[in-house]
Amino acid sequence: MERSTRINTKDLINIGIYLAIYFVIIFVVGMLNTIPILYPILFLIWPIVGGIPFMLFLTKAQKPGMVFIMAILIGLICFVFGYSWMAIAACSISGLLAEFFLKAGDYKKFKYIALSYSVFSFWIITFALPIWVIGDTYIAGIRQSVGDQYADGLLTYMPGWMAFAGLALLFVGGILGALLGSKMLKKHFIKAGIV
Amino acid sequence: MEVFLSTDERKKRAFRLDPRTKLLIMVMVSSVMFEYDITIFFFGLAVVPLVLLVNNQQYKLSVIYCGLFLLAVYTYTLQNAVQVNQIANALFVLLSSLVLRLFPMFMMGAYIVTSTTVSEFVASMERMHVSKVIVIPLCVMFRFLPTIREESVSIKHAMCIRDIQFGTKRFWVNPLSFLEYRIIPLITSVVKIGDELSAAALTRGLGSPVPRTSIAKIGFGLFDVVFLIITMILFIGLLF
Repeated sequence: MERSTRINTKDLINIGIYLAIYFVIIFVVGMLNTIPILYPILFLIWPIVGGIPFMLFLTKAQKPGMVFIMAILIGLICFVFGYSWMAIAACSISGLLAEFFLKAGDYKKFKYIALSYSVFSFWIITFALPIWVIGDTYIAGIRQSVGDQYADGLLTYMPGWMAFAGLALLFVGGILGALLGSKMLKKHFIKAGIV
Repeated sequence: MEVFLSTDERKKRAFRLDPRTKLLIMVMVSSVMFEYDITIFFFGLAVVPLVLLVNNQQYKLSVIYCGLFLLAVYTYTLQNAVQVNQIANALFVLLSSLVLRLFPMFMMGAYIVTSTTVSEFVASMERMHVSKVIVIPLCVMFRFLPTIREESVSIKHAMCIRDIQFGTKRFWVNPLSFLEYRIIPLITSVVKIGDELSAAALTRGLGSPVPRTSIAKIGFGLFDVVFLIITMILFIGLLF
């Protein structure tokens, strides 16, 4: 059967629903980052937990553009919350890459879906980007606003090479999250008749 | 059906702002919260959401906001003066960074969500020629945030009966199962509610290609100008 490839209103509503679930989960997990030592580990936890709603979303998002729209919206929300233009840049790039992998796998092959989700997870780097891009001013600001102890902690656990390590962690977390998500899909959602 | 962004026309408000004004104030309040200097302008910007909340008759929220903010300012003045251990410091950081930086923004968000109706929001977005692709998901998302909280609370209660909650013995045996027991039912119920909602919205013609008409009155008034000028002055004052 020929799939319709145009995004209709129902798809847009679906994007909104999954965006809400995904964002709430990311936000709740993000509460952990008040402890500096947990910061790097979060890059692993975020994509793993986010994998569950996202894999479910991908079963509905079988048209080109839907993942990209979701990424753009995440970027916009982060922008409003004060993560500057970097949020929109990071989100749109990771969204585009995710679309590319999805398309390559024709929205079906699990290998490509997992890859796509890992790449999509790269947007999470937004939360830490200011540390490396405008490094010194940002740290100075942190020092002033939340105190020396936290700033030193942040510096100890987030040196420059963490940018790449962070991306690697996100990638691994994305793969694990995709596995977890698809396992949950099979175990619960298909049984419940949602997919 | 109860819609988020309550349409309470009966509520007596001193004035009502245009959604676009609210968004602009939100952008200014949130971007300034990362400026790190605590000056008189900072306080001014923190007061703006307070005034709006009081105007919207959210008295309980405004009292909580006021108290927490003052407490956070007190913690802020203490900071770096005393060296405390890691855990206490984490608490300090939580208080001063979360409350001081984020609360004005959150309160602004709470005000926007409770004071704007969906039709007002959509109408003003259309006036600004924002694409449907952006507007519809955002509307749906804000409609769902309260639903998610409600559902989450009921699931939490249900799981308490089975001794599945944060910190019990069963939790530490298998933390991943905790995730499964809490998130999966949440997603299931929210998705089902969402399907019903989209069916309802589509039968009311959300997807129709004709241009939308709206009975929501939007437009700039005296208070929009006043609030924009005040916020703008505070914003510029804080930047320089």
